[in-house]
Amino acid sequence: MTENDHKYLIFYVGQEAYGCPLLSIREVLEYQKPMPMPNMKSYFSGVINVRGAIVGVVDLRAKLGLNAPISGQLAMLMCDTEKGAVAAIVDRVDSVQQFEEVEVEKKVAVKASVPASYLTGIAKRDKNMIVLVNLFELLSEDELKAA
Amino acid sequence: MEIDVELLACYCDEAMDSLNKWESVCLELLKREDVELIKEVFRIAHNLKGGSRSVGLLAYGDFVHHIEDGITLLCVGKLSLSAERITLLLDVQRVLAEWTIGLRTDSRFAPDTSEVLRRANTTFSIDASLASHSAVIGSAEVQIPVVEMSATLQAESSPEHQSTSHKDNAVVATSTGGSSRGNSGASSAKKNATNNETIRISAQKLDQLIQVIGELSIHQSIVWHTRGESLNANKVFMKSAQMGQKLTKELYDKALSLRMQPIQSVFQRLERNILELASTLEKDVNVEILGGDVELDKSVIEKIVDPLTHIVRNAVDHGIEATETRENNGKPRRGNIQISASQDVYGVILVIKDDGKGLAADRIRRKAIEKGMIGEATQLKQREIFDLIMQPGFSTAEKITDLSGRGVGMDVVKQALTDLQGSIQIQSDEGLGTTFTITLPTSVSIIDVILIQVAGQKIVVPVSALDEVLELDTPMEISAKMLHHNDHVIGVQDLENILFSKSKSVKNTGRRNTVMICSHNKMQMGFFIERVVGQQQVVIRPLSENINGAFGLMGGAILGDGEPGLIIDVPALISKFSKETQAAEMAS
Repeated sequence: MTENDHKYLIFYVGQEAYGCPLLSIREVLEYQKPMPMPNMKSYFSGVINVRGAIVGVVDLRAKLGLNAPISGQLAMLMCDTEKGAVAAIVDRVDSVQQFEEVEVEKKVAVKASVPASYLTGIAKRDKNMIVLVNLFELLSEDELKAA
Repeated sequence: MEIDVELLACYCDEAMDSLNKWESVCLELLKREDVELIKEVFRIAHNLKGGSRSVGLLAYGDFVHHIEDGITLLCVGKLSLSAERITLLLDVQRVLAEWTIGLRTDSRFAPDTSEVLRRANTTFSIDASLASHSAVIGSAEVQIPVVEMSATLQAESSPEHQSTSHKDNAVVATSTGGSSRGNSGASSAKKNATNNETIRISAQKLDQLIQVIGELSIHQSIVWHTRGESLNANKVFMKSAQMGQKLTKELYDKALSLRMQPIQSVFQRLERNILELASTLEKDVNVEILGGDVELDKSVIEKIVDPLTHIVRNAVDHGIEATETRENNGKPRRGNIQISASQDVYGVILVIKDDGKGLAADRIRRKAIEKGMIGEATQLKQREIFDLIMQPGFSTAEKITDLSGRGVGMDVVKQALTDLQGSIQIQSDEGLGTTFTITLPTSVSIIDVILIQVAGQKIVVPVSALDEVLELDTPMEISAKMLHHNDHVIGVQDLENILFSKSKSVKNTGRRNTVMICSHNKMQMGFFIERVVGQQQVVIRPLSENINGAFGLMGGAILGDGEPGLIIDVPALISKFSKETQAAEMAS
């Protein structure tokens, strides 16, 4: 276990704070408007140009079923999944934080907005709850094409 | 002996080069008997033997060694250079090529060599008295004046080799028992000396380089297009921007040219295919090759082998007549097939021309009527009749031979060429021969496109798929299913509905006055679009696996303004909707 294994990137989708393992994110991108792509799932926003490569974009807000208004301060988190790079739209990237194991509640019986299989725990800090998700898995397992 | 995978890969690359050379030398030998050529084959075999043993491919080395014995007999004139023996050498080359290719994926791969070895034993029939000649053979080997010999001779003395053959005694005696380590050192030194003019680069690295340069040129074009806005008439800036523009273009062209390869390797395979098929069919065919140095993109080269092979096999099987028939018709006994390549401004033109019996336009026409492809009264120009043989499901051969038939028809050939943005034309005079003219773009990665607007966004359409864009005088309802144009009724679809009905809400009523007419396999179809935005050249970018394969798209591209663009797959759209139309007609 190295120091980086405990580091999480904290971001917001709607009003809720989420964290995902820092090392699973290839880069954080400035928001750019995706070019819509036909015959894809509704939460698939389209494609963007990341230095010459065409990268698919998933709207995490729509994916998690949130209807919160867009804050106007959007950012994108890019992951290299096995099926190619995917960028996820989030409302705001907050910070990088380190959580010790004791700070993380692994077994949570709450009904979170994130499907249980991608939920890795809940971290508590300064009375705030941060939902820890495995963003890499969440973006990897997606079949983006509309049936 | 443990096999090092990296060394093996390196060996395989070099062996494939050697085997290509082996093939070309043997083909040359079929044309003219020259002892220098057979010595060349000997040197190649010898190097393959040494090389394969040094990476631990013992069975491979032994096989080559066995063949090399036969070649030695040809070198020293113990056996004559008959066509049969050269054909056998070509077959050996094929086995070795198969072996080498197999080794790339499986280091333990070994094909069945028994058949070839058995033939080698009879073809190079070595009588019992040969053992006593071994000294002569050995010295003959040494006399061949090549530097490589000294390096490879040492390989003969490596321990695993001792037991392989009794005839090597003389050779072993002449060398001074260098260790196998010493041998590999010597041969790699030799390689350095001969290969200093080229380097092998993995295709992947090259593609990455080209991609970066592609990006650079996109950004350069953004700089160029905004030069007026950003810095008003700053001369130094303008000059640099202009120079940058020029240099970027040059850099990009140079980078793309790295992927270019001469077409000779393909032609060589075709020549061999023709000769082999001709001998199976007992036909006498001469092959003439022109312009083997013309270069094409590597990916194009790989994809044209099968279509071209099909065309030349057809030419031998159905085109060139049997020798007696040719004589009776007052033609030279020997048939001729000419394969040529030339470069012109639009790309590369390949011509395959035979002097066989040509295409019987009447028979093709009758057959097409029988098959219901055209009506009794349909009037067609000769060229249009020949185009019929490239339609799916058309074959005039009375029965499918396993020679050129093999389940692939001319329609597949045409499709393969269309996929490469190329085209094919047939010209034929009955009794005199057939000419296939194929036009290919030099590179498939850059294509001409038009940008159209659909549902408020830009969509990319390859120009090759587009027939025309109509501006209607009176707008049409988008629910319309057909359109009257130039005395034809064309099916028409609303592109917005096709592409976006699943992902966003689209109107299915309304009127439009722009129709884009596209065609695929002679099937025309119109698509309502909002408007045409412009025309440009784009570099095709593959889509990653998670977004690839969505219906109606064939890939992506970065447009001149840096935005990503999606290229629509016109053939797929047309096939789908023409099928639906047919199904609807059937049902009604």
